[in-house]
Amino acid sequence: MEQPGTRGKLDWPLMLAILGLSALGLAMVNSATRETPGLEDALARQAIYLLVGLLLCTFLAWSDYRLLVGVSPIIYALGLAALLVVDIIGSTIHGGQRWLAIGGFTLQPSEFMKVALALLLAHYLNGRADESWRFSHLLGSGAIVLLPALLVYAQPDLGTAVMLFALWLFAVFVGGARVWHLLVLVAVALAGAPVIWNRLEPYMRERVLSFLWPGSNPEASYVVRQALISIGSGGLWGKGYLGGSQTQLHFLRVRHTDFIFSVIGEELGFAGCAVVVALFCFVTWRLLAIAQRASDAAGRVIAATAAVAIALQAFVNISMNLGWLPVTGLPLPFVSVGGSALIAQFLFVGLAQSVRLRS
Amino acid sequence: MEEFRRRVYLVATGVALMAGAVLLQLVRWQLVEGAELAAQAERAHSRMRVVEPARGSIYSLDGALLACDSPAYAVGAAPREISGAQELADRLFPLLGVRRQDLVSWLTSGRAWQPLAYDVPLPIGDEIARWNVRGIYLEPMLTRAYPAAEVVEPLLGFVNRAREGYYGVEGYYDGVLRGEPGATLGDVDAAGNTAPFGQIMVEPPKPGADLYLTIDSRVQHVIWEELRRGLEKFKAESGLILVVQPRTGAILGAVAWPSYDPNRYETATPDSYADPIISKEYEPGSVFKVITMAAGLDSGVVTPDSTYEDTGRFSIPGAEIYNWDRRAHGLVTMTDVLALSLNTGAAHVSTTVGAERFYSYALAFGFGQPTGVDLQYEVAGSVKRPGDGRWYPGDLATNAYGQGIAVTPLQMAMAVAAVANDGLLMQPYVVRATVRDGQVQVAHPRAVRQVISPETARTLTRMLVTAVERETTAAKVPGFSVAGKTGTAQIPMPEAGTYHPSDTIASFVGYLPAEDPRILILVRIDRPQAGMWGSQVAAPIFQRVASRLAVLLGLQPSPASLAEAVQP
Repeated sequence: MEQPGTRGKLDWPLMLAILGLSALGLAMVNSATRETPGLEDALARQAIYLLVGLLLCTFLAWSDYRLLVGVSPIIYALGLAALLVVDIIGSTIHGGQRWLAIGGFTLQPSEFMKVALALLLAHYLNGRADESWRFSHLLGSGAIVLLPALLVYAQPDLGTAVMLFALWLFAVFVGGARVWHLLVLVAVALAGAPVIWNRLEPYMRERVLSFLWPGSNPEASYVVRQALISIGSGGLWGKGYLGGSQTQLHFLRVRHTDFIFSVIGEELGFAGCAVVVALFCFVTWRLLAIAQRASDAAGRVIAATAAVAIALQAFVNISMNLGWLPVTGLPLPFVSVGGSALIAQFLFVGLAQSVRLRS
Repeated sequence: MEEFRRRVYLVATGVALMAGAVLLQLVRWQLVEGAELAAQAERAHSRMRVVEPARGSIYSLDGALLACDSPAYAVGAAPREISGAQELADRLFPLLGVRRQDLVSWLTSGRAWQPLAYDVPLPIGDEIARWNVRGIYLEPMLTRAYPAAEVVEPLLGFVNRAREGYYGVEGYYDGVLRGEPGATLGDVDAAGNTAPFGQIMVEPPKPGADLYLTIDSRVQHVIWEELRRGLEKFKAESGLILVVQPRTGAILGAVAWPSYDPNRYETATPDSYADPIISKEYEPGSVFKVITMAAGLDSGVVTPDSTYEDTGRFSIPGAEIYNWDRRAHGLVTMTDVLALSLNTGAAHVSTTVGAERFYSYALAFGFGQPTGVDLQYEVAGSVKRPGDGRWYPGDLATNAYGQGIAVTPLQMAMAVAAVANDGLLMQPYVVRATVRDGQVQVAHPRAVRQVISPETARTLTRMLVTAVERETTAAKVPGFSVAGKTGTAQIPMPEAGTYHPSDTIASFVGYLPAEDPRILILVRIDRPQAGMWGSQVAAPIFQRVASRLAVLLGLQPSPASLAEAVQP
């Protein structure tokens, strides 16, 4: 495994953990899409994305992340361009323009933007490692996230836009920004919340409202209610793989993407859910450990952002399944159907592995 | 660098807290409330479906099929799936018997589901199924079929869309015919469809019992034909014929016209569902003199040869009554009173018998109360009595010849049948046997009470034979001695408080052979325009029916009448 110019070793337990999550994902996608018209090829596609993700992950692990950080402004610019194209001509799916159709496949540039953002933030903070506490740098890095976040929000995809901001917030936090600077920003954001609320898309407001006051939107609260019934009815050991009646009788909606955790809850029970939560904790821990051992600020930011990207998204998705957070459409990392998200997550892991190999 | 480590630990702590919170929530929903949520899921997923039982068939005594279940289609549409509603409506409306504009508005309604037609015959449904049009759905259903409806109604009643029987036999025996529904318990998906291989339990339905009526299909056909012919001949708007067995109370045939088609009951006015034989009252007129005379004879007040001076009028407090011919007939016997149908004579008898005895006989003959026949919605009729606040002394005289008293045709027939049956009143019935799972349960004749003595009954029968022989020759049946009585009733108009000036109800009740009565026939023709008297209108119809039934049923001719009949 020794590679010229590398000192560390590939983190095999991390690889095994994400492979385990992905394998579980494939199994649950199979369960969720059986006998479902229109989703006959979802499992095969997910398997192909998984292979592509693995290949790219391996490629990134072996390549030097510092090179990528060096060209990150170009990658970032390409990402912005892709987002613009999506905003203008992207095909409409589920009332939002998030996708770019290429051949028979669709790409979701906002997922790749997370990776590009992590790289550019690494680049920005690496060059200012000794004075990263300055408020001007906070604003400068904020400008970096603001552009893609606005484009993503315009798609409209509130969940991912918020996620981009969250990634930036954590990146500058671990990068050394002053805590009270961050608190000021949060206060400003809260003050601006009413303005943002007025500009939200109606369906987004509905989702937030039905989260805050269940029953105000019967359709949305039906979906969430069914998710909770699915999870709860699984009990300790679950109803058995392919044995979940909520899933198999299609009471559970969007079960292959947003609500795949509910499928796990129903069919594999508390035991299965606990394993999933444990795996995510393990993955996060390994990624944060890589950040701790990184040889430069860029490596630290990349690995920490990867950890937060995966942990936060998993948390938001699971909370949504448990009726805690609004239905934002964020998939469960490595598990939900969705090629772009899956590949982006493998890219994060690949970059982190590259950091580890070179620390 | 130290600061960085510290902050990463903070992030790690945050992640650990999130994971802990998630696990706590999982414990709450899956372990604490898991059973309740699992029960909710179970309730939503399994659905009990009712499987309709086959309703029992109805047969005549001789095995003719009168009512049965028949497979058909219910046709429905999912308008949201339909394209080309106009062309589809063009093709469908002649087949479904639905108006084209209705069909178009249904198909373009944008609803998720819209029923189009029920009871669609199999060949038509199969044809529609062959088109294989998206958005049109056929579901098998059972419909009630009445192959001989025109001849039998309104005796049978009908079965509505909810498969509930109403009126007549269907109504009375609904619980017997209906059977017990079965059920299937199975998984359903979110759209409500049964999941493949999702059947958990199947409880087959228990079919209802079959009924064999006392109705003889040949008798029924004869009286239907003769009623139609009679109504046409005498230009009457409605009428009925009833044939019972005096010895048993079995109803051999019952027909009323106009009626309705139970196959399309929803197109008829609800008023036409009621069977006039049991559900509608009328004033019987002179036929009731049979009852008056029975009371007189049985109480020993008169004998057939008792005489009475007929002055052509009879005075009672509050009323003055006359004979139908407004003539005085001088000294007459009780036999003459029946033969000439003298109102004054009947009033003489009833007033001599006295109110108390007269009305106790009327009640004993079954008037004023339902006969208890096994048909739905029978009415009681109405007999006013001293002390009930509606009765006036004058009623005793008018009731004697059937005025001011309301009866049903079946009550009238059964009362006269009691005379034919040696004074024993029988309970009328229409169901001869019930067949369930191959087990036959036969209904037996049931006597209600001995109303008059057998001697009185035979005496009265002889008087009624004489009455027919002498004055109602139109009712005579060659080879048989016939006992009978005509009736010509005025039609009360309650709003005006008087009787209709010209319309009448012409009736005749007779039975034969008089020495051993096998059949009793009641003929009633309402508002005949060609003729108005019972002897003119109802008696000839009785004669035709009786002649045909005598041959059909192989009645034993009466020796005396036979000798007369074969004389050159």
